[in-house]
Amino acid sequence: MPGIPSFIRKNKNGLVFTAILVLCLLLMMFTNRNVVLQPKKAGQSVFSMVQLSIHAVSNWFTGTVTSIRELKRLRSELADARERLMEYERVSRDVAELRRENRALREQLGVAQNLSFRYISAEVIARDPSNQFSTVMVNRGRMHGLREDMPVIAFQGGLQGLVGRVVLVSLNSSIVQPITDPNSYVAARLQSSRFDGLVAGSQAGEDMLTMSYVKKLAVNEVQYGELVITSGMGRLFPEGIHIGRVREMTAKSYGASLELEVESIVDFSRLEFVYIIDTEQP
Amino acid sequence: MSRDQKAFLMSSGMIALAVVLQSTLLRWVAIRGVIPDLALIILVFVSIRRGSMNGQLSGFVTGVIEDFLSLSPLGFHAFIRTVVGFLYGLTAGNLFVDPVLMPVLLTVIATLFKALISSLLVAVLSIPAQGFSAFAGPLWIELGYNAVLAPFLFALLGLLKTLKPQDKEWP
Repeated sequence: MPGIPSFIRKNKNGLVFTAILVLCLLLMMFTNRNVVLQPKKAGQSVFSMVQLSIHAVSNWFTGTVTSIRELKRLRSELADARERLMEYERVSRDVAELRRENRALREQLGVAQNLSFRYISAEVIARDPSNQFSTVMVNRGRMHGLREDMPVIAFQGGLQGLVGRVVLVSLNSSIVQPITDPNSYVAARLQSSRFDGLVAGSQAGEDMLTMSYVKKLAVNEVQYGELVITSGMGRLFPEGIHIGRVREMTAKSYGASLELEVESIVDFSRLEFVYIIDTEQP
Repeated sequence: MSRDQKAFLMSSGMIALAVVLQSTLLRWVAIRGVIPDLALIILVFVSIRRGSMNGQLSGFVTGVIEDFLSLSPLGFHAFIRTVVGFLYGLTAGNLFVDPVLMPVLLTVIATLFKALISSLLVAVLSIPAQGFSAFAGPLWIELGYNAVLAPFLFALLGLLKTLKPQDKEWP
């Protein structure tokens, strides 16, 4: 059949194009909806090495250039830290006293002790290369004990803020889905008024979140600037981690619940170091 | 190694490097968290210079690398970049590219086209992506960023001999 080879030769471009598109569609169908296959993990492992190297080189350069300025800043910070240490020593004495009192009250009420978890520190090495997905890549993977769905936190402005959860783990790196992602949902609670709700990433982007399903009763009790924390429901995130502060409140007349706009505690543009919480190993 | 194969390797290498830079160093110059798509600008340049075969193959290979580094399903970026590379490649040899206007115009169209395809894929395959929802803010920032950078990148890439316009068919 001499027709087929000449047809292939004539339409080489179009045939290769069609073959690639079919392959892409098949791959998407197999790897979509969190059914992530091993090739994706293997690829992530390989290419994150390149990211790690570029991150290390850029760190070395910026570290060298800014070290003198850093030294000056550190000196003034040392003086501040000394002052703060004195203050903390006083607070620490108060806390020890309060802890003793708390333990005694808990014993009386029969409440179990709070569990403390193992924290795995990690450094942010890369972000998503495109603007359509909002992920963060960290330099810890399966070999460091990371597993999927582990909560990730960061310390900023003296508060422990929720960053997100681990969604993809390869050998030496992991991808974290931040709470600002529109597909991230966190069971939350207002710290002072104690109303529950669900925090999701906002389509508006940046560091804004939306807390929905808050009872309308809360309209008179919720304060602007009130802290939103994890409620511990759903068991994915431990209770009491700070999520953000209430910035706006919307009460639609036809709706049964309130919608709150929450500003994340964590400034994601300044995120450098994070801690992954191992909830299974205290 | 033929000139076409050299051009393919060089263009794929450059686009792959751009993808890695987008995920690391370019975060420092992000505007409201949005980074420029250098990989797309290079792909447009390569495709209109070297034709559909080079464009689609480079687009596919680098799209797969982007998928490895992203939370996107495998094939998502590969699909978008293959389509862009193929379609722009069809215009190879038929366009007069001036130093400023055409690079801007071609890049703006490619960015809008990328947004359209990705929105379609997100909708049809229910991909959990932030996407360019309703062509909102981030898309316009990326569009502006790409448009500003395009003439400079086109001028730089134009200096590379390997990427000179195609003179024979892909072997």
